[in-house]
Order: sequence, then C-alpha cells, then structure tokens
Amino acid sequence: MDKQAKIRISNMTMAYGSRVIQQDLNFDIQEGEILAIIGGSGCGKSTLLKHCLGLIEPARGTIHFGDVCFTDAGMHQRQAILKRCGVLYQNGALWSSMTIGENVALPLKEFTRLSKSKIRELVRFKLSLVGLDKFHDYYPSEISGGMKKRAGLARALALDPEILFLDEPSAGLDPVSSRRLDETILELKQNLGSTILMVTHELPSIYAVADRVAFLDAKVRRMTAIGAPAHLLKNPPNESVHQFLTRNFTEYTDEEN
Amino acid sequence: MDDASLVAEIHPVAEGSRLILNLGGAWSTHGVLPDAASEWAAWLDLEGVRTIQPVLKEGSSCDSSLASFLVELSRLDAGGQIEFDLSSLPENLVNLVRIAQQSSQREEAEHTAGTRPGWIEAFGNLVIRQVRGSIEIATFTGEWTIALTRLLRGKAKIRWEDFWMIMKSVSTDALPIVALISFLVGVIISFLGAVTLKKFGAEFAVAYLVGFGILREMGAIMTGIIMAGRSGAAFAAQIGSMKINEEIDALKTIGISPIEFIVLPRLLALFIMMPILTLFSNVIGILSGWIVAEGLMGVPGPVFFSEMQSVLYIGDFLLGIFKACVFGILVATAGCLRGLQSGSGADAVGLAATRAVVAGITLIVFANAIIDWAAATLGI
Repeated sequence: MDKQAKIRISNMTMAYGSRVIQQDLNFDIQEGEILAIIGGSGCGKSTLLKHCLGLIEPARGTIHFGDVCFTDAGMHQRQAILKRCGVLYQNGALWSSMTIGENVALPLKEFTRLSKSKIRELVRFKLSLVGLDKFHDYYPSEISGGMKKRAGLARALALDPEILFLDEPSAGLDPVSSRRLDETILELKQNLGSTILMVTHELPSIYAVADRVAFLDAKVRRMTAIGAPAHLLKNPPNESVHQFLTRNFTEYTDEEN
Repeated sequence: MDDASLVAEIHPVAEGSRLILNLGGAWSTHGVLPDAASEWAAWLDLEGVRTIQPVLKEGSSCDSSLASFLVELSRLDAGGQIEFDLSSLPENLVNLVRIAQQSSQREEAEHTAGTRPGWIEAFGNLVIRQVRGSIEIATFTGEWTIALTRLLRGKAKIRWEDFWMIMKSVSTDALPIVALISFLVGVIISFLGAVTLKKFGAEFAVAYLVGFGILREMGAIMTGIIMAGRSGAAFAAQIGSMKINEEIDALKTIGISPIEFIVLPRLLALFIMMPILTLFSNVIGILSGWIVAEGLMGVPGPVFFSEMQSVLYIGDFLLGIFKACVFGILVATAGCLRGLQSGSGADAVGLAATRAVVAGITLIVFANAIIDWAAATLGI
C-alpha cells in the first residue's frame, strides 16, 4: 500500500444530466494491484470506467493518473496517458472488418515505429499469450465469445500498457471459459506487472482475481466498501455488501429503481 | 514515450558451444527493437553453438517485447537443435515465454473453426444461396397470402395496436417528405415542359404533360420510392432486430405466426396508405406544376386546369392509384422479407435495411414497366 497510486479518484460525482449515478467517490488504485469495481446492475460500474477513459466527464471531482490530473488535461496529454492504458471492452469490441491479427496489429502500426516483420512477431506473441496464435487469420465473426474476449485482451496488451481496464471480462461466458480467462488475466498481471481496474459482477472472478474490491451501491449512490474480497466477506460493513458477496438477496429490494 | 532513446541492444558473446546474449538498453514496444530473423541469421554462421543463454544486463529495462523476441528465436530454431538456457533471466520474463510457448497446447487451439471454402465451393454456395433466396420469396408470398385470407375470414391473430402505430408511421409521419418530393417533381416536370414546349409555341400543353406525368407515373413512383426508403427500410430494420433479439422465435414457440403478427399489419398499412399518399402527392405535384406554368410561362390557372381536364380522364387517375396499391404491397413485402432473412449480429440489420430498399426500388421500377405495358395494350 506504500506504493504510489496509479490512479486516484477524488471526490468524483458521476451524473447523466441531473440524474446522479454515484457521488463522492474517493479511492486509489495502487501500482500492480487488481481492483474490481463491483455492484448491482445500473450502479454505474461501467460509467466509472468510461470516466477513467475520458469518454464521459465527471460532474465533479478529479481523476489523477500518477501525478497528472486527467480531468484537467488537454487532448494531447490525455492521449499520451491513454496510450499507456489498454482496454478490454465488454464484448471484445473487435473491429469486425479486420482479422484477429490485424486487430492486435492496429495499435502497434499506429503508435510505434516498428517494422512490419517486428509487428508480426509481436502480434503472434500477444496472441499466444492469450492462447489464440492459431487464430491470427480468423475474423471476429468466426470465433466464439470467449475467444473474442481473449482477442480483445490481446489487443489491449498490444502496447504493453501499464494500466489495463477490463469491462466485465467474464460476463456472458460459460464457467470454464470464464475461469480460463480469469487465469489468463491473473497470469499476465503477475508477469507483465500491469495495474488492472476491472468492472465485474461475477462472484467467482472477484474471489479468484481481485486484490481489492470497491462496492458501488446503487441505492445510496455511493461507494460503501473497499477492501480485500475475503476480508469484506468476513466483515461486511453493511447489508448490501454482504448480500452481494454471498448472493443472498432475501431482504434486499431496490426501491429506488 | 516513443523517443529515439529507447533502443534495445544485443551483444552476443560465444563461449565454446554456448552463445551468451548480453541484452541491454531499453526493450520497449515504443522504441527500436532488433529483428529476430536477421539476428538469428547472423548467429547461424557461428559454428558449434548448442546453447543460447540470454542475460539481462544490470540497469536495462524491458517490457514483453523481450519475451516476444525470445519466443521468436525459439520458433526460428525449427529443428530444435539449440537449447535455450533462460536461467539467468528474471522469473516473470521466463514465465511469459513459457505461457506463449504453451499457447498451442491449450484446448482452444484445437477448436479450429474449419477451413475457408475455395472459389469453386464459394461459387457453389452462392448459387445455393440464390436458389434458396428465390424459394424463400415464393414461400413468403404464399404465407402472407394465406395469412391475408385468414384475416378476411376473421381468423388471423393481428395486433390492432401495432397496426395503428404502423398506419401512423407510414401516413402522417411521411406527409412532409412526400409533399416536398412531390412539389419538386411537379416543378421539374413543368419546367421541362416549359423549356421544350415554348419552342413550338405550345405553352398551354404543359398542362397535359404535368397531368399525365403526375397522375399516371410520377405520383405513384415517387411515393413508392420514398416509402421504400422510409418504411421498407424501417420494416427490415425493426424485424431484423426482432430476429436478433429472438422475438420472432418467441412468437413461433407460443404458436403465433410471425407472418400474421408482424408482416400482415405492415402489409395492410402500406396497402391502404400508399393510394392515399399518392393522391396527396398528385395534388401537390399538379399544384406545383401549375405554379411554374403560371409563373414562368404566364399560363393562367383556369386555362391550365381546363386544358388538363380536357385530355385527362378517370382511367389515368385510377391507373396511378392501382400502381400505388401494387407498389405498397411490393415495398412491404421486400421490407418484411429482408427483415426476416436478416442474419444475426448488429451489422446484419443495417444490411437487411439496405437490401430492403434496393429490392423495393427495383421491384417498383419493374412493376411499373409491366403495368404500363399492360395498360398500353389494354388501351387504358
């Protein structure tokens, strides 16, 4: 915990117009950790991720990447920061007109000055890290959902990002594919040393992968808990965290929605 | 980030059968990296090398591009004669190399999605698809005919709320664009007539041109084309997204015919509204034609309309309305069929909409030619 915070979110309020999604968010993502943002549907998990990527501006508060304030940064500075980030979107978001290999190659072609053969080598390597090197020439429509996510992960890793954003990496996958993806994420994190911010509501993934979890409560619109998942399970700070982590919904009803 | 100072260095030192690779500098994807194949080719000249041992120098930095380089080296060693001694590398680097090398042995790698067809097979597939497409059109036409007879016998399950919504979307919602296009078409025909007929001193005859042109041809055709672009495409998109969402399957499994539930209201709505829209279009077109005739050539209103009345008879008007009914059916059929044929995936919906418009317009033009030919033969 003494390491420098990779991302720091301070007093941030997220809102769509006058509708407040979450308010007064305050937390850090430490270097080399996996922080999972958890919470029920509609609590603003994915919205938070979009804020970190600059796709949505916070209504109030700031996001810092290291020492740089992302919220106040200009376009060039933002792009320099985002170049150090890799993003895995919910459904892979692979460009459907390109093969898997071309998808991974595009960021390398755009942002590095490496030769074609070197890019080919790096693409093959990144695909083999996620177990897809045989699928270099396939189009996204020709592979399964789990493989799409893996390919998306390979693309996110293309530029060796310091920070990885994963939006629901294991959602919509069968338990085996989901577990394999979790293993891949963990394995790559340990060996690449990336910092990971992931959004998820898959309990097995949370316990398997996350160093810490931050719970966004849709009801009170605040982050009500942050800590190691096992610790929160043992000492839940409030009822909704307990219900979420134990899948016990008996008394919890979402009255506001 | 990607400045020229990030340069990866390799200093190979041969020690007997062992080649020690001293790796230094900065191995960064954003910097300058060595090409594995050319380095490898250079080392091949060194006789008797059995083992390659990469060593990372103190103070040098690396990202996964170094692991990539090492994996590539072992791949280049196709015969597997060289042993790679990774013992002096950091653990995470060794792990990355191992993960990448094990990739091919993972289960997923065996789950190959089959090979792509060659051109003969692709051509065969194309023919089969075309034949199937024709059969689908025939089946679909038959299905809605049956559904229509069931409706007339009061047996069809049709949701009248949907029907009125669709009626609105193909009628009042379409009025502005129909008015605009009809106005312009009237202006164009009248202007065309003005320019040519003036040479013969027959300005008054512009009334015939506008009357014939709008009533028999342009009113119905332009309305049809607008509806193909507007409603045909919308039908295909709606039905296509219903198909993706498995709504069509849900209807079928509870025993409701999607033809009755989805196609029939759209077909009826266009069949009823197309003649009315065409009537509207005729009025606007003729009025705009008169405005140009009066403004540009000084043909006064009463002369214009009495001239028009003297040559036109009710058959011209009815022919246009008949065409409108036919076009309405064609546009709705094309839209609904393309929607039902839509594949899965978001881009399939866009494709279905495009194909619906193309099919709709093509059908309108062909049907128009056939009807004109029949009318000429019958003397209408």
